[in-house]
Amino acid sequence: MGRLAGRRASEAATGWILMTPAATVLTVCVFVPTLIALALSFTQCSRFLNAHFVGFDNYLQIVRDRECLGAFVNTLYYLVLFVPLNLAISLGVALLLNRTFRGMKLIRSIYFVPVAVSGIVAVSVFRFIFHSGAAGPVNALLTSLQSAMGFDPQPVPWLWDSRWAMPTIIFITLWKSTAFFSIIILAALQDVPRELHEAAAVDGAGRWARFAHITVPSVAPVLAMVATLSSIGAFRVFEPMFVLTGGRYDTQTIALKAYTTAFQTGELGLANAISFALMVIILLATLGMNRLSRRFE
Amino acid sequence: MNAWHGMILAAAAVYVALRLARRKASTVYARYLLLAVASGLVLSPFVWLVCSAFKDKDVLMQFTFLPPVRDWSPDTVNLQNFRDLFSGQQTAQGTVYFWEYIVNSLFLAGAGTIIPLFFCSLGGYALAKFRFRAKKLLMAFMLATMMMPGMLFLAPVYRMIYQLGWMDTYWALLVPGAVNVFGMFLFRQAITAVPDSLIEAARMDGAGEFGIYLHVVMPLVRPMSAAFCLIAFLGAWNAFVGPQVFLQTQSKLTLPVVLNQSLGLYVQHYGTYMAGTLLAIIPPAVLFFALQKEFVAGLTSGAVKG
Repeated sequence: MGRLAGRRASEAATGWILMTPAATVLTVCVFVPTLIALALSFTQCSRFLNAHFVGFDNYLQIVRDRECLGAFVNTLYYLVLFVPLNLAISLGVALLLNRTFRGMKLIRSIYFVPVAVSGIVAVSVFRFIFHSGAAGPVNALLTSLQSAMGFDPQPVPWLWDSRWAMPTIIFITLWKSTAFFSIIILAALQDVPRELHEAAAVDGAGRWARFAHITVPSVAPVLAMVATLSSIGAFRVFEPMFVLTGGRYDTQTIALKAYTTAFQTGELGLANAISFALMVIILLATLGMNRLSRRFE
Repeated sequence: MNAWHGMILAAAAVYVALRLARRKASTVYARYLLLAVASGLVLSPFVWLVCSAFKDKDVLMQFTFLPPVRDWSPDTVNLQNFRDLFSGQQTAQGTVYFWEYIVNSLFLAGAGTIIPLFFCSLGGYALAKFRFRAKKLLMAFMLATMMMPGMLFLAPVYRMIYQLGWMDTYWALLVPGAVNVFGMFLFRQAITAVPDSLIEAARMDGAGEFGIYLHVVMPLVRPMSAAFCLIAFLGAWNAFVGPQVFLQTQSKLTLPVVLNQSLGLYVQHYGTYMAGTLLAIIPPAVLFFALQKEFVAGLTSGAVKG
């Protein structure tokens, strides 16, 4: 017994020693800053100078401030469109790619290209592709289509218009995120045993029946994960708006609002309150989704 | 006009051909067609990007993609955009050359891959194979941080970096980036699958704990390491907010920051911007295609069966 206890102790010691480098960085760069941010969210403070306690004023200001509320509405708009579309397109692409025939490897590689180049650099190329003038590639295509069908050519001001800016951004972010998520869904699809499909087909189950009763249930956990991850991503979305519109034309999101409040207007207290409110929302949404997906399983 | 008529005719021809073909075969062709159209959609931004990078300023706006082949000449399709890009940029802090940004980005992405690889795999090993006090609490904290908006710690970390005197140095990026919680969970997942008996056997042979990590565990989770390297490299290469906030000297900046800076500059001659963008997406693309198999295997073994 004594030997066992000694071993337990040495195991714990070794565990902590191995953990120390990562734990130190996490403590210094994440845990402590989080606590500081929480504390700051209850103060009025600019550039860390003359902070004084104001209680829940910052949180109340979020609810009162039109711009903050607008940012919440915009983020929800983005989320409501982005998450279902992302799930549907990723699943669709994965289903299309889940065949083996000649040239499939090449086609799969093509679909995964956006994963390799995603990021701010790739996103900013779309600023030119969706250029508002007639010279932008999308508008060039659109106007030539319009005139071919006998309409007056009318270029669309994609990213420079309140009606179009958010849908355009959603299209752009879908372009890169569906590539990533279809990899994951495709891998799950390939784990579905072939015999299940064959047995069902013998029993007379049609294409749709097999899809609804075999394919979907067997990849359901992965679909739930994709929905959760993309919702978290949608709540935190920041960079596409920062680069493409700078938050104009009703595309200001919560994370972008927090960034500009902290680094442009310098109101750290308010900025941290916004971030914390967002974190609570994400936490609740994730927990809710977990509940929901467990009920389905 | 004619191009559109041609396309409509072609589509009609394909449709008739499909109706005439056997039904089974037609669904196969329909699938091919759908895949081809969709991959065209996925690839078209790249095609456009490459075309813009090689077009001369004077014909940039004239053609959506490249000019027709018969119009190709050194006046229309050339490397002028790249020459402009590398000719050096006059800034308030002297002339800065584009290759300096490339070197900075390569250095930061390289260090930003290797350092987290070590920290995360070591931490993942500890989480997977050791029982120690406060482990559950630590993991709960880690999970919570994955849901936090990055903006949250940015301001306090900014303050800390400032007080440490690390502003405008690469420490400001490398130290906070040394641990990636998602990566630590990935490694934990992969290392859990390593049989205890192997580790126990090495221990019996007198191997030290660090030796076991380095010579037993790490070689066994090589696919996950490859996947992690790719994720970390992509993250560090594309990092924007950190370099934007912490770096000030022009010659220390990275590609994403500089390209975003020049977005306004080059609106008239965006060919130069596209040339820079093209160079910026090549390294991650090469790495991605080199590690694609490991990436998919590593990511899905951690995520799907988790």
